[in-house]
Amino acid sequence: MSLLAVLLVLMIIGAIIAIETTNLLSSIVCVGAVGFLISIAFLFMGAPDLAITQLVVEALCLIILIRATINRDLTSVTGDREFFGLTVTVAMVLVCLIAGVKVFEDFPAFGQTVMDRMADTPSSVYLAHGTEQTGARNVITALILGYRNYDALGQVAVIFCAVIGALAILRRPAKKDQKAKDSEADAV
Amino acid sequence: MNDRTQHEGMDLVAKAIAGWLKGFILLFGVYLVLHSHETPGGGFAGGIIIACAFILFTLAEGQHAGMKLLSKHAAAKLASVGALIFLGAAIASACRKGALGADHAGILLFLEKNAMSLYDLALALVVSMLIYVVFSVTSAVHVTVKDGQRKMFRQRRT
Repeated sequence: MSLLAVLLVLMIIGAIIAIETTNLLSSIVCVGAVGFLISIAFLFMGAPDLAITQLVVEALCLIILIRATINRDLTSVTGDREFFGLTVTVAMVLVCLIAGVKVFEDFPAFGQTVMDRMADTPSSVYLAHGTEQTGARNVITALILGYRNYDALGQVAVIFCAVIGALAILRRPAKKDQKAKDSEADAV
Repeated sequence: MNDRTQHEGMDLVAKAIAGWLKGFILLFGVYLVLHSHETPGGGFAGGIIIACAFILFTLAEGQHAGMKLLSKHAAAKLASVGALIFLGAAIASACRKGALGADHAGILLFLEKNAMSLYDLALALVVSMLIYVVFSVTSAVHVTVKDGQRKMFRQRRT
């Protein structure tokens, strides 16, 4: 539990550095550090499935973001903060913090889900009958691709539509436009 | 922009090591996908590791060699095939069990027993190919600043 607190403090420090630094590359590295710390936290809370996914996604996002920012002329952000915007932001964060503290008082203790208070909960049914009903020894897989397979189907649909839509928007322009683009690019 | 397309990829050491490593990374991704019903990991994580093998090859050998190995449009088609496999398996098992039948497991599970690997394979195909598409799209766009204005350019194929 104290280790988790240390990890949380490190994550918050990394997030603040990522916001405050003006260099885009070091900001990305800090975001990556936050993600890796989250994966370590998942590992210590006993969720290796999530830890693997988080680690892999984080490494890949780091690669894509660095690839997208490095060798660009646009690597640093300058400009002063507006006083009014900063004040509003701080006020909103304070309001959210106070509301969050109130909400957390009503939460169940760490590691105790609300579902556990009831007698015949879905989660206990999944744990008891998951292996023989789905044939998967890994309960996580039995849940994600078995009992909650509509969820997985929706996720696949969402990511598929998002990426194919982005590909359609960022596709190479038609032949006629391409010539104009090329001459424009040569001029630079 | 022209000199950037001439010397492709990284230097010789990076190319050699990437050539050795990409097979092992691909193998580990396939292992995670095929063993997802027993070990931690699964279609999503395994798919991203498979995509990482392709991305490593593309980073080391340059964009044109990567596009020659697996082009953006071929990757999008493979992802479509994966999505159709997922949807087809879901519809097939829902029809067979009777989605509105008395057996309520039909609508909740909509799977045959031991059908996990099929869903995982489809999920891994979709995720890996789509992540590769995202990578190739983002690495093909340049942002340059001229006269204080940001402009976006696409890398040309030649």
